[in-house]
Parts: sequence; structure tokens; C-alpha cells
Amino acid sequence: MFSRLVFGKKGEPAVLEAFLDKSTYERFRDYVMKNHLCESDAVVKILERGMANYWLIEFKQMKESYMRIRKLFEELKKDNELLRAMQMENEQLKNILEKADLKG
Amino acid sequence: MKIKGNPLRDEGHQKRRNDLISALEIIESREKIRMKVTIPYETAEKVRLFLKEKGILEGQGIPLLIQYGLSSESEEELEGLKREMNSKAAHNLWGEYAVMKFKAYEYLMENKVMVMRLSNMLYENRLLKRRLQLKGLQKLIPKDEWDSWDESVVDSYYYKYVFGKSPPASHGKLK
Repeated sequence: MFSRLVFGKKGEPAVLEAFLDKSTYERFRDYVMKNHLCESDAVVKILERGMANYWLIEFKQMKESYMRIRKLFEELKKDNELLRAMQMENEQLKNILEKADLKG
Repeated sequence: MKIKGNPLRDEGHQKRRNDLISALEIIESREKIRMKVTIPYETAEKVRLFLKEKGILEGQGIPLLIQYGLSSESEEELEGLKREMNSKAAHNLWGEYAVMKFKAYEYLMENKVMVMRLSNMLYENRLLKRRLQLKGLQKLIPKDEWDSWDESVVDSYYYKYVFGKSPPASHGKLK
């Protein structure tokens, strides 16, 4: 179930086979209806727009992901500091007790 | 054979049924719709080269380009993004994002290992504090956030890091 391009002879139209999420396919159908295009012309326009705006949309998604990861990062860092603190404290308390035992 | 009670009213049965419905909904949402169209050679070649240049496989790249092409951003918004993307701050953001993602993954893995030993660590901490108390060294006993933790807090950490999901509502909430 892979999306692919099937080329025939050079210069002849190619076949584009795509497997889309239900929501993407529904948006595609809306686009076709709204713009009164045939599926083939619509796909060409959509692909051109997708290529032209590829980095812009990647950038937008990265910014959104950055905000989510930043929040998660802070949470993970906080937990990490707390768990490490417990680990270190156990070592410190063990040292104190060892010294106290040696002193008798 | 007699069946006691109505199995449909049984709580366990209801839970399993709800889980099954959720699972089916997830599977359904993953269903893909096949689309097959003829496009001009030039467009197909342009797409092929574009994906090749980015190192993206056609299987992933074609649906991605369609998704991006259908995105709802207006021309104004795209212009704004273009200006922003060309700024120095944006260049730094890509770098920061990559580093933060890597560090977050490192913390996640490290926390997972520590959480697997959390029960023991907490037990040991309490035991050490108790021994200090018995030796009359109360002044050296630190006051910690985890002194008040009960089993539900430990379970919440387990859910978060070992099972990778939120704990049930009945469990303690992590601060």
C-alpha cells in the first residue's frame, strides 16, 4: 500500500497512485468541488502548491512541535532533577551513616 | 448451564467493550483511501526530482505533498512565514529544536530507568532517614518533596514513563 508514480514512455502522462488519510481525501474532494476541477488538474495544482510551500509548512510545523517539545522538555527535566536528587541523597545519607558507624 | 447476572451489565465486560470500540475507531481512522490519477509527465518528473532531492521516499512524499498542498494557510500567512523563516531567529530555532528533541529523548530514557527503580529508591531513602533518626542525627535528615509520596505517586510515575500513558483518575497527580 505505497503511494507511487508510474511512468510510461518519456513525455507521456504518468500515473500517480496515492493512499490518503480519510480527512486528507475529504479535503481533496472539497477542493475539486470548490474549484470545479477534474481530479487530475486538482492533483497537479495541489502538488505544485505542496512543493512551493514545502519548507514554509515544514517550518510552521516545526514551530508548533517546538512549543510542544519545549513544554515536555521542561517536564522531563524537572522529573530528571528530582529523581537524580533522590538518588544522590541516598548516597550522601549512606556516607553519613558509614562515618557515624566508624565513629561508633 | 446457568449464567449469573447480565454479562452486559458487568463492569469488566463494559470496559472491554469500550476498549474494543476505541481500538476499532483507531483502526478505522488509520484506513487509507486509494486515489489513482493521470498527471502530465512534467509534473510527475518534477515531483520525482523534488522528493529525490529531499531524500523522501515516494510512498511518504506523495501523500505529504498533497497534504501540504491542501493546507489551509492563506497567502498572507505564507508570506509571513516566508519572512519569519528567513530571519536569523528562525535559523537558530531549527538548531534549538534539534538539540531540545535530542535532550528530551535523553531525559525520557534516563527517567524511565530511574522510575523502574523508584520504589526501591524511595524505600531506601526512608530507611536511611529512619536510621539517622535512630542514631540521634535528626538535624542531618533533609526534608524532601518525596517524603509525602504514597504508592499512587509512584504508580503515576510508572504510568508516565514505563507505560507511556496518563494514570487513571484514581491515582495521584504528578506536580
